[in-house]
Amino acid sequence: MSARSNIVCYYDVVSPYSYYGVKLLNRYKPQWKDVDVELRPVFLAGVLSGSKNQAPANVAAKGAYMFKDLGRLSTASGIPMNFPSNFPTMTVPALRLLVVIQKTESVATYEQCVEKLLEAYWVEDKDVSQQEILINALAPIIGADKASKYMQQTSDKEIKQQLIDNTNEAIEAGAFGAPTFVIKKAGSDKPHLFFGSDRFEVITSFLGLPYEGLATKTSPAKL
Amino acid sequence: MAATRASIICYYDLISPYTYMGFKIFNRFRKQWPNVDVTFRPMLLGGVMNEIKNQPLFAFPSKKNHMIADLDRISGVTGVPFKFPQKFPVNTVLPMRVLTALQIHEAEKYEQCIDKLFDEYFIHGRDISQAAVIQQALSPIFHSDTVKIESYLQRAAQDQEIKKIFKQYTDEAIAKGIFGAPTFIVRKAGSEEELLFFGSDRFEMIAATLGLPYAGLTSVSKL
Repeated sequence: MSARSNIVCYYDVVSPYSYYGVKLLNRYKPQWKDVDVELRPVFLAGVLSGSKNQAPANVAAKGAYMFKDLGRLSTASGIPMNFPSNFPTMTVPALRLLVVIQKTESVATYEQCVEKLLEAYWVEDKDVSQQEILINALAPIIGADKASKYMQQTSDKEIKQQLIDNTNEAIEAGAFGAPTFVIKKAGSDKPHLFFGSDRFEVITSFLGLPYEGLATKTSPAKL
Repeated sequence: MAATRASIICYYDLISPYTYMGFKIFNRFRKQWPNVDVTFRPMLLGGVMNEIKNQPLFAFPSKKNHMIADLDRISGVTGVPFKFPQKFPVNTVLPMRVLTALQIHEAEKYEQCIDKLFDEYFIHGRDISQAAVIQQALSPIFHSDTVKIESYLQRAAQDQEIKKIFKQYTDEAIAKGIFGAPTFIVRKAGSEEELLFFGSDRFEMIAATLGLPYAGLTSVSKL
């Protein structure tokens, strides 16, 4: 039990709403007092199959809608998005790499790397299933040597197991998609699950925090 | 030629918990949006789902559990009462056809009747598939004119024209790319373009689209 509130954000690089969820979370959390936030990588396909759910794009009308929704969200929030030419893609290498970095580097560095890989896919349209692409993306943050070394460590049994454990943990918590936020209020051990990048208004109310809204001073409020 | 006003068409089915909540919240926000033309269009959600091979939320246990917890929390934030009905789902063809008839023949009472039937199910947990429940629910709105309400129940059950119109609305929803409820079809002033917004959680985006104020969920109880 903590005197601070705790948010665990389960995300996968392949998930467009995880991209928005992490970007918005990183935008809001500097203003939040006494809230601990952890970004935990999960394999979305594993969460979907473990919860017997299916991806929204499996229904044509949902896929078409999602595309429009994501575009409008970009305009409303000022967060750039260019829908990738290869969607979906295999993100296990990227996720395992982030597991390594979370275990080895500081929280600040890890979070930078999470954003960088999300941007590589969701802004720069890079092929994040490829090791070279991942190494090049992270080199500016941690250096090419470390990036290569960490990439090699992704085949370690312990790292593979950690991603599996994270994924199972999310499923057991009741997750059926990404992003999923499991939140404990200060002074309580009771977990509360919130699904989607569109629950920040409810989350902030739940935690007694102000809601900043989607628009920023620099992005237009009008679509 | 005067430009057309901004408009919002809300496609709804009484079966849908998120539509109950969306309908209630929307009716508060629209008090701040007097220059928007609003229409509530009945559709058979089950019919839409079958046609596009989508599955309802409640078919997935973890999604269903989340929905109930999510709506309980939104109820807490907004002050809109909510109690997930013991008997769920029920067949809403009869009450939806009654509403189809009321939209045509009792325009001034129509929205009140939608509201009442939603309350009947999602506050009081009564089975709105039953003619007797519908009769009792609508009675105060029609000043205890049971004969009149009975005539609408008869029409809903037997009138080919009403059946046809209700089916047409459902087919129209499918043609527009609708895959769930609530769905809001938004048109900016002077524009023919139909912008589809799905869910009870897109009001901030709708407001941004129309250049209108968004009071926020925590203000709903004060509007």
